[in-house]
Amino acid sequence: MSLIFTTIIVPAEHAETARTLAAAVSPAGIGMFTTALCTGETLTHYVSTGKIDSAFGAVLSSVEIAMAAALAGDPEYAGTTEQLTALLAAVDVSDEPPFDAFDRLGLTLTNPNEEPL
Amino acid sequence: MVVPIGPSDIGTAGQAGFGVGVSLPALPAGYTYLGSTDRNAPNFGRYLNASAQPETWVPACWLRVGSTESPRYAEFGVDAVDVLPLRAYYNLPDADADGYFLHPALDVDKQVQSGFFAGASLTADQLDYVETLYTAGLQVNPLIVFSSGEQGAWYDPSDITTLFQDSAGTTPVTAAGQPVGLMLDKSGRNNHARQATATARPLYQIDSGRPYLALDGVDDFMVTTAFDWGSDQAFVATGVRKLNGAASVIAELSANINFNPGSFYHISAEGGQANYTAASRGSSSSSVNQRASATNGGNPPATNVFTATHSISGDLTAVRVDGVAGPNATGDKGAGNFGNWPLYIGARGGTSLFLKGGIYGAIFRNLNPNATTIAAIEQYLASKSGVTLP
Repeated sequence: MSLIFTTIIVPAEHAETARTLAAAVSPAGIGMFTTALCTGETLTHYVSTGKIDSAFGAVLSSVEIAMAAALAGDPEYAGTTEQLTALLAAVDVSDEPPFDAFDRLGLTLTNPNEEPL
Repeated sequence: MVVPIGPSDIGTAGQAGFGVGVSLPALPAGYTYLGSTDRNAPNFGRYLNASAQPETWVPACWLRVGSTESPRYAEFGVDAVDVLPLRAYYNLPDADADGYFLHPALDVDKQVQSGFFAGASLTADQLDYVETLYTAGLQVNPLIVFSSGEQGAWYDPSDITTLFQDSAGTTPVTAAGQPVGLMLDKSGRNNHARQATATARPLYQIDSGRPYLALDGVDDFMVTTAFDWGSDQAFVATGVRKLNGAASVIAELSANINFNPGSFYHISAEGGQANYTAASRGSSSSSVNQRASATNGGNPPATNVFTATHSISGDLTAVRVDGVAGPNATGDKGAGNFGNWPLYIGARGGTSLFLKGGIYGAIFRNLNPNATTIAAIEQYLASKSGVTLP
């Protein structure tokens, strides 16, 4: 297993497509894209960042690879080519530290606004 | 390896008092010296219990037999014996790596035993006394705080044998920079912390020779399966590094204290960048009156030892940072025990308040220790974190 560091940011409207794709490709993809990001006060994106299998990382390189990987991991994967095409056109994939990527895209974490108690 | 001189040391081979001859700092109630406190006295190390029966104090110690690395091997060969005090190693794997072990009489199901041996067992008072003795020194083996079967967990990222890259525990962590999907609980209670999602796994990192669990402040956290806490007390001790001033969960019992009775949280930078805050509640609704903050942590980046004790029936949360007590919280917590919840490390419910920083060690226990034990645990975590206590 070869690991790579990656930061993946998806617009909120494509987050569910990204979640189902990640979950289909690998059990280790279940639970991705749950951290919300804001543009100003508005929730606009979700992020996952960390070390992932390099094969998993290649999934977002093309619609064909994404679909093949999803169906290999879950034969009942129901995502469409149109959904994956839209996702890959909008997703931001980099090897930047997450907060650098947030700065580049003008995004902030939402959690600093949360009151713990 | 640290080999301080202390009251529960085994002594020095070849000198008076070695082995059984160890002077106690104070006697348990009902005990008297059979001899004297003179190491050269014939009965040094022997005592009369409350029934006037003679007993001998036996400190736990590490043994190594027949090691080719022993300075005695050339003379004694396979009969060469080396002895070190218990505090020479923090845990069994570290000792094992150097060829040392606990004598079976001192190691019952991996729980260290020691004390007065009149038979094979110890009374509760004696165990408490043993705990006090062990924690009176400069170092402590945290196993001792779980020696009576207390519920809780002990996470020790400095023990790489407890870390695995995957949540199933099939691929061990072997080097800095690798993800941690499973962190074994060393308390013996099997409350292991896991992270199944690849990108949410913290990384194993080493800073100035000190290993720690690095969390990215974005999506990293670990969580146990739910377990029954089993009491209305909670002791939490962490060696933690914070890298930003955002309020961040170090640990939280249940997904969110605001919605779950019988829960607690420990947070960095709540109400101020230098702050460490703890809160807990029983059946009462969550309230700021249940929350205590220590303000001496320093602004980030900062590394601190943060401890807290909670008592639901006592309506008390007491916090300490780097050994300095903050103001207590005495707001009503209601009734009941801490509940049957998962324990989250590094985030609230895995969805928010992510910690950007590191954890050098963490101890959770369902029984509040005495002040001596708390101080010793703080010293232990300080040594893991590189923190100098006042």
